[in-house]
Amino acid sequence: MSVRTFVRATACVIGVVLTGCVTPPAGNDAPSSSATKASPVPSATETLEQRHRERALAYEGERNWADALVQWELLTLLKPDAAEYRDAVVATRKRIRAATAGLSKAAEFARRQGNLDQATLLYLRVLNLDREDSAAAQALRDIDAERTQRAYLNRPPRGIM
Amino acid sequence: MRAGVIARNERFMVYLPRAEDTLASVAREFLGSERRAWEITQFNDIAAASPGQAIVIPLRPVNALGISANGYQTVPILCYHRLGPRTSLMVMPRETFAAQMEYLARNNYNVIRLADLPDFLTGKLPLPPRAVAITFDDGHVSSYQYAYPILQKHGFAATFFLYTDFLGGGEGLSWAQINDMSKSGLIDFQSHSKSHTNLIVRQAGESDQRYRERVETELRVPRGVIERNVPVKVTHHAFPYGDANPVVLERLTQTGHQLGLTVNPGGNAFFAYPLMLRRTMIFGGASMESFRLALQVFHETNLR
Repeated sequence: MSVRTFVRATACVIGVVLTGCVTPPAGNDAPSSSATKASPVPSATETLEQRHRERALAYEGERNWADALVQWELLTLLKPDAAEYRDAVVATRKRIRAATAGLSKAAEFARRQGNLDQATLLYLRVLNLDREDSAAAQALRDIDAERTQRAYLNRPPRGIM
Repeated sequence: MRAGVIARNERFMVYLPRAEDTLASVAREFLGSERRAWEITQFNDIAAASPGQAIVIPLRPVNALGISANGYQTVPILCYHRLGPRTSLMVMPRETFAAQMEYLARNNYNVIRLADLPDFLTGKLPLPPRAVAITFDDGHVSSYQYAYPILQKHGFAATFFLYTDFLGGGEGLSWAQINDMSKSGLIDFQSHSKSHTNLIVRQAGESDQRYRERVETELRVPRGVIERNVPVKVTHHAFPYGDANPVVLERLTQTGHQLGLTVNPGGNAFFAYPLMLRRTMIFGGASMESFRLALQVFHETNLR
């Protein structure tokens, strides 16, 4: 089962549970039929919060810190007063820093040694953890420029095209 | 809860759609372009905007580099030359081209504009999954007669690289045809040199100074000619024969070009060297299988 499928299934279950316990938001037009009891529904933001909370936890379960961080950051916007979400942002950032520090050093070392395949892989791993690591992205650009020029610039001219 | 913006910070906006909203209209309003609607679709895992269902608009790209635990996105740039009734290395039957475009449409490929690539290469904006760019070299009249209607049918953008000595006579496109395509908003026109000489080949007895001047002429003249005749900004250059050398790259940078395109095959990752982008030739007799192999939209590698 993919993360998205798992999250969707979980969110559906949670949505059903929440339906019975959340007050409808102001201005929400509840059905007025006298035959059925009006059932309170979660507000649009509550549904959203639940969905993204589940996603954050699922990503954490996969140790996908980059996507988990995005979800926790969103949750601090959806519920600014929730210490749980602010703490999760701090904790996830800390995990990312801890994981990337060693990788970045190893990548730089591999690059200095001329092992560009290994350096490329390690910089990519850094970016998989922290997509905003501009130093790793720039290192990859520099390596590709160097390799492309080395591979193609000294070739003999090609034929008719 | 009223429709509209519910919450916002520098990274996200939470939005409750109005009855008349579509994801395209929301993307146009808040992300500046309908073509970025896929970012909202992907982040929310939804197919359409629904009133009463709040959505998240990522104001800053969530994954501009297209990287994930199992690999990273690459963008293939397809290179065609001529279409026609006969088949040769450089001439493709129009039925084959039509079948290839149909394949892209049916298999959820996202044909992007080449002009979207610089922002991807600098990490500013993401590209949709399965992004592919289409290019035609030279400016042969068949690109107007045969390729353009097929591209229009699918709403596919393409960049035509023109070598300007070829235009306006014989089998070259006319400026009327070029402007007709430009008005559609689908076709962009960029430079493929003035005379289509291989810029890495020195002429007999040519001095360094004379060689540099000739390279510069081959880069500057077509840009001026195209910009005088069509309302476009020329910032991309496809090297004739796909060849470049350090002098060509230096002049390319100094003449203000953003992208240089080779015919070295393969897809382009976010870290691809912009002055020597990979571009895959689609030859006249290419089978559908070889076409599929050219569509390298993802490089699988374990990044955990």
